[in-house]
Amino acid sequence: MEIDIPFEQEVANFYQSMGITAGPGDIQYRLILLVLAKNGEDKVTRFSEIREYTDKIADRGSIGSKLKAVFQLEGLAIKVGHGGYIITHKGLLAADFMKSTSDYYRKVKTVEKIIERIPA
Amino acid sequence: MSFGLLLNAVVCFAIVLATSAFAVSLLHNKKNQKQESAPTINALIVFWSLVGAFFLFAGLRTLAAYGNFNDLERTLYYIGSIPFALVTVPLVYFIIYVILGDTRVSFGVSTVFFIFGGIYLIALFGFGVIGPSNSDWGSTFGVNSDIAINVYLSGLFIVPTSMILGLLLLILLQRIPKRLQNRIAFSLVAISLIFDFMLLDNIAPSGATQMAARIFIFIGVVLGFFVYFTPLSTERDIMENRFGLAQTELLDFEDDDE
Repeated sequence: MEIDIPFEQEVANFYQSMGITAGPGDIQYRLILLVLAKNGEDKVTRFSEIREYTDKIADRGSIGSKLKAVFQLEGLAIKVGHGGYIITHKGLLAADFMKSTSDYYRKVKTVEKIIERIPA
Repeated sequence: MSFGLLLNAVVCFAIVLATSAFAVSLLHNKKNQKQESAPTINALIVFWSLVGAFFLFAGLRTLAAYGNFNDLERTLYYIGSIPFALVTVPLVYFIIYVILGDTRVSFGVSTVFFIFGGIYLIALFGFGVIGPSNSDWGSTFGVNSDIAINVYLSGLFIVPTSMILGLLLLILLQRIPKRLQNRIAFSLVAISLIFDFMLLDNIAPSGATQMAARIFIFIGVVLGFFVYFTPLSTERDIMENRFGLAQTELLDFEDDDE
């Protein structure tokens, strides 16, 4: 599963523009969740791997605190050893929801483009 | 030689006038449109021009029927069949481009319909027509070829009509502003109305059916024109009825802010 950072940024901006600033509208949350989901429940995700995706949009500190304050606290991921994380079943559900928000964004954009092509 | 034939010709020329005005207005309005909608505007201009061309020859044909010039009538029917067979091409281009946004695919698909139109014309010219049979209200012809009728019905009629209805359904099921939704839906309904009644016009069994079809076509053209070029007063009325708010009231609020 490829993670397209500019696309995720676009989706996050779309939800932010609707006032949804957390979850689907939070690019950090989206990227962390997608990297964790990419590795699945069986593979440990290293913090350095998450940072490969998040370094372009956020600093190390805010990603670390997001992992702790949201992912660990809400039980979306569990910490394994030093700098390792495994997604939980709840986290996978959240990742599925995140994918559906991307699908919804695509659908909205497709309709918008169709309407743009019809002369007004 | 009845008054009904003259009235039929007048309706045809009214359609020509309305479609020409529509096509010219679209052409003038082209620069105000977005880049993305330029190909669809061109397709619509060609579509309305072809509808106008068909009814120009239909009107002349009806006048020839009034004067009892049977050979001229037949010649005009054949000439009028050309825009009739090709009207599907811009229509299909319009629908495919709106859905996919790819000019090459739209061009490819509309070429297929151009070939269908060509087959229809070859069959029509090859096997000839039966008629004219003139009545009090119109002059009708019968197509002397099952191939032409089958090609028209299966290729040139059913597929584009299904495409229009599909696009209409797609637009109606989306959450888009009501005014925009109505505008798009009505323009598609107008196109569908014209396209369907053009077929009925061409295969009409009697002059009265033909006359009725032409009246519906005229209504369709006028509907299509007003969808794109709504008179300002009507638009204001819609705004007031929908939101219960007049422009003047908005200005009053602006004064309060100050």
